[in-house]
Amino acid sequence: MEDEQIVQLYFDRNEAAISETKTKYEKYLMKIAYNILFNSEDAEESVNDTYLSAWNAIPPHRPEVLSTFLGKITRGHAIDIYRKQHADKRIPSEYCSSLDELEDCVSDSSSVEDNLEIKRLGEVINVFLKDQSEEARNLFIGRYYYSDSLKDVAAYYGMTEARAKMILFRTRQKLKTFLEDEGFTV
Amino acid sequence: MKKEELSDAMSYIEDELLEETNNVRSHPRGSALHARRYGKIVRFAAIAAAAALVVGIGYGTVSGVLNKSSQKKEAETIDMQVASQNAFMNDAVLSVTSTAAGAGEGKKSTVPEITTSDSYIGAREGDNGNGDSYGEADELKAYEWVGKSITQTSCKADVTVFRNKENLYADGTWSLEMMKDDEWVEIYNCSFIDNTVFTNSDLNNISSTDTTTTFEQVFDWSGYGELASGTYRIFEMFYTFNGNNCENEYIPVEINFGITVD
Repeated sequence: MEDEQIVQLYFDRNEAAISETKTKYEKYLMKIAYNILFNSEDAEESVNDTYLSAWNAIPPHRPEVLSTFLGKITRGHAIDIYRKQHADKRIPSEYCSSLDELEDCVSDSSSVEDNLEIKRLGEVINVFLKDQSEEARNLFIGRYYYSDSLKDVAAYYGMTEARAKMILFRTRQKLKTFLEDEGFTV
Repeated sequence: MKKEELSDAMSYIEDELLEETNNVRSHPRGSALHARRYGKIVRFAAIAAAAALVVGIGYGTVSGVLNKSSQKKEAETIDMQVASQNAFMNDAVLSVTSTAAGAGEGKKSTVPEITTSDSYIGAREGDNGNGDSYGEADELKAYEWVGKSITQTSCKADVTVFRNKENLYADGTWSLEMMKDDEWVEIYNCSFIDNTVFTNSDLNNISSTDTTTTFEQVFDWSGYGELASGTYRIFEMFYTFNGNNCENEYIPVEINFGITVD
């Protein structure tokens, strides 16, 4: 079913919206959640919460791109679960590894502590990413948004993991400089 | 800023960008290109091997080693084979496996000098927002030494800058980096990297009619002692050119890369 039709089901308050969403996007959403949580049951919980959140959000919201809309919700739910659990134990997920890699860009010494600043940071990241090569941009988003493994992101372009690692390293270095130039205390 | 905050901010990445990545995730290009690239690299490796044998260029002693072999003074052979592949032909990863008498017996072996004279023609059109151009070459070579330790004494790189605009001045750095068995060797603190700064005067010495100039730097790694057996990948010259008239300029850089092993 086309995304527009699925969205219309939500607007019609037709519960088939959930089943159609599940049919089309469950695998995609499970991958996002699993990369973060490294646990199938928890990933499933995140994905089920996603369906409920989508049901509550649509309407009034009409997502332009349903896949990324759902993916963002799943990522948010999964990260919430991750943080609750991570307080007690280290979760050896790809998200955890990718988060560690991001330490290159930040010092952890200060905090943004403001949702508006986080949003502005997001906007700056968008500007930065648009200025990167397609290859570097997709590797970066794949690794740090989707938390795909190094092996997976390398496979995007049929390159070696070493090369992907190198490109990611360079991109993180550039991002750090860019954020500093934009006035962020990293 | 905390890394978690950086991660949270990524939830604001625009749909358009996420969609682009999704497309690549859904249809990874690796498998489709793998065979084609592999074929290219096989051809490249064959050409490189033939060129090294026939011409004996660079710092070359491959032919010398083969002479040794032919004289049967030592049971040394060089088995050149394609070990892996990379995105472009110029990035071909050539594995040179050296098998010497006594290898693996705790005896210091004579590792043949391995020579490459490949040129990497790399150029990136880049602009970091300050009118600076930058570029980086990619993986150059991988060498595998089996069952022995080596001392890497020096590594030499010639960089030719093709000047395509007058009044170009620049400060820049270049570097050489290594990986061992897919792990970076001290990449983060760069202590393994010898940086050379191109001063303004270096580039100003190019007359307006010159089109090329060559910088040469010997990387001396003798202070690092013996390197354990493993696969070493020599990675990229990372160079930057900062200065006026660089903006959106395409600056081809040719790198002639050589490595000598005791």
